Amino acid sequence: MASTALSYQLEINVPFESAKQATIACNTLSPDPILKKDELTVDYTTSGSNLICLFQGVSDRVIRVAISNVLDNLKTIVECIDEFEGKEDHIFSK
Amino acid sequence: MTDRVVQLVEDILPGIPLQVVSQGAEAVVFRTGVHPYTAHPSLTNPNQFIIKYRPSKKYRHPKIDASITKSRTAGEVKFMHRLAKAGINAPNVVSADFKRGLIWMEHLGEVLPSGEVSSFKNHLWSVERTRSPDECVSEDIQRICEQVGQLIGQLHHNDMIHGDLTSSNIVLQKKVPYLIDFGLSSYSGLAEDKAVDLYVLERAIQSTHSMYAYKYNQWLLKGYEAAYGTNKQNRRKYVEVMGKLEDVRQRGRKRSMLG
Amino acid sequence: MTVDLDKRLRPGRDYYLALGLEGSANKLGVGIIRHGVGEPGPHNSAQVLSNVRDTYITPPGEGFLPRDTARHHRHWVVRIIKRALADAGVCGRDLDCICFTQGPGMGAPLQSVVIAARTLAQLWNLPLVGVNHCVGHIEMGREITGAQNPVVLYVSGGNTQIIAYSRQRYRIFGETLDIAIGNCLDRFARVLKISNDPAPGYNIEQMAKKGRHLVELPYTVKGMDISMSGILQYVDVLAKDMFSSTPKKNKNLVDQESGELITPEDLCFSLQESLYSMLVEITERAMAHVQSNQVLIVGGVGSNERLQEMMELMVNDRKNGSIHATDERFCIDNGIMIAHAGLLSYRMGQTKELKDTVCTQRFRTDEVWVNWRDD
Repeated sequence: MASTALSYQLEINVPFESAKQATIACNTLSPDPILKKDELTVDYTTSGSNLICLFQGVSDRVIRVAISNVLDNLKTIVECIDEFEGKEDHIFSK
Repeated sequence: MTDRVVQLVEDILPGIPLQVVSQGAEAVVFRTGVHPYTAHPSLTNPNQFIIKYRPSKKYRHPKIDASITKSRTAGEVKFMHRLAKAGINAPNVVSADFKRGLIWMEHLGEVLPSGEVSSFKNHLWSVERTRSPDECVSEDIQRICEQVGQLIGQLHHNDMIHGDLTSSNIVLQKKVPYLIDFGLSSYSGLAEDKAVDLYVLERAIQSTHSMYAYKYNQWLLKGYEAAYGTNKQNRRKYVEVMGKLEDVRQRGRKRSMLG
Repeated sequence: MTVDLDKRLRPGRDYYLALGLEGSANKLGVGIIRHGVGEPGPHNSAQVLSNVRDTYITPPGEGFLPRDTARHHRHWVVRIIKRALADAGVCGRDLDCICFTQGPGMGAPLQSVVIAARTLAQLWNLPLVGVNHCVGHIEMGREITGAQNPVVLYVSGGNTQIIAYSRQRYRIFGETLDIAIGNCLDRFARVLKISNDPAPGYNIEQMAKKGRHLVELPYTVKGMDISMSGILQYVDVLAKDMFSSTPKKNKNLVDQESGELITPEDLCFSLQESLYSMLVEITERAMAHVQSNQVLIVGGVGSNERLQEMMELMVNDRKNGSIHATDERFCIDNGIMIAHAGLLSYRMGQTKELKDTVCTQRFRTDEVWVNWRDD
């Protein structure tokens, strides 16, 4: 919910290979709460195979910090997908 | 109970009949029928006495060990002396040897049907084990809890801190509570120190008597409050301790526990 | 009443497999455990299929900061998961659940690892189980040592607790009133510029072996609680004078008997003797209070040999006393303990929806409902 005080906005659009991947990323990122809700909100949604992250904050600085954290998490998610997707039956070699 | 510790005491006190009552953490407690210097002691129970012995701890560096044994034994005896002067229920001292960690004192309490000493803990446990849930929170238990609280209130009113309040460190004699075990005692007028003393007991009750801890703690605090009376100045002191107690509780809950 | 741990057994199988992820402090660990069907016990012990760990090590004089530690975990987590799966020779389809540390611990590192847990759980369609780090240590310690119902001394970087089980909770009988033992050791090491590799506590232990003179340090036991900040303050002052040009001006830096100057090794020795005496003392207090004769030491500081030796001396003087400790594979933070405790929870039906997998820095040991025990 956009609040009038949160006047700075940024939307990033992250393309995945499939809608399923985008949903997994969205579900993984969504649970963690934002500590100062009056200063920043982050909403995750998907559109087709895209993950959409909407940042709204009181300054561009708080948005910058939040994005950096989301990108870090996305790296782990993408790496997990790359290494493990469809490999339930795979025995990894040492 | 290891024979080593018993042997040590027998060497210090040859010919004194000793019966082991309990092995606490830092001391072994014996019962004896012998008084060291009179046949007619002016004590409630003139026939039985307690000998508390702090053996040296092999795990401690000898320097640390000697200093702890001496300071705790001496501290305990001095504290008991102060308690007697203030008229607070506790055993009377008969004799002591600080360096060897030995205290001879008045015998308090009875033996419960279970064979255990009538400590507050054992009394509550035996009721919890053998009686109905209703009897665990009976008027009788409530009275004991309130008396325990009152005892601690008196202690704090005299600016004395027990330092190790648990349900094992309170003995019931004819269901009247007496404080024991003053090895970690100290003196302080600070509300903070009194609050920590109460907090230690509150936590001990929670972990040892979890089922009825809420009620027990409520009654303890009720008795504690009663000890401060209605005098305006004392009331203020009481309110200050309660405020600090809430702070200490919060600290306990908030203490960050990093893995 | 007996606990039924087999409500979730997959048809046609007589065992369970769980993957555990730990990253609450500077160790990143992943492990895979196997439980046989039926009640756990000496005849049916858990099998460690893999236990991989990578530690974030900082230069001497520096502690590990949450941000940098989280970066370390993110950098390694996928590789360590792959290695754990490879070591175990297990594929994703064989797993029953994915377990992760939900707390207590440092926020950023915990969060960096749960991200991987959530992603993997969705990719492979596996349930998630949140585990209390302390309960992980306790359950793993019980499993490895066979200690049935011990008083537990839990000593690590962030925790110092005396715990005993009662009515389906691990209850805290005593704890530190200020800083944790591992934190105290780490900060002491920083003051004396002792290396963090492999761990500050380990290096203090090695130096202590060369110490000869005991410096008397503040000794603070309050009931079953202890306080350690006084020691640290005291040592801070000593260390400053020790590294000054005129150390002899501080009379506490001269040994009374020999007249020799106190060395860093002597300080390490004195620190260990004092701190561990306090720990052993409160453990013994708890044992007397709950009338137990078993001790289990868990947590990273639990691997200290001097602590184990002192504890053993204490226990030997108690009737039928026994001491249980694990080696560094299990007492230093690891993924296998999370897998083990998590699998016990899973078998009792305690799984988490994604929305309930948020990690928490503060998560007290006694908050966990230990419904897999009923004694």
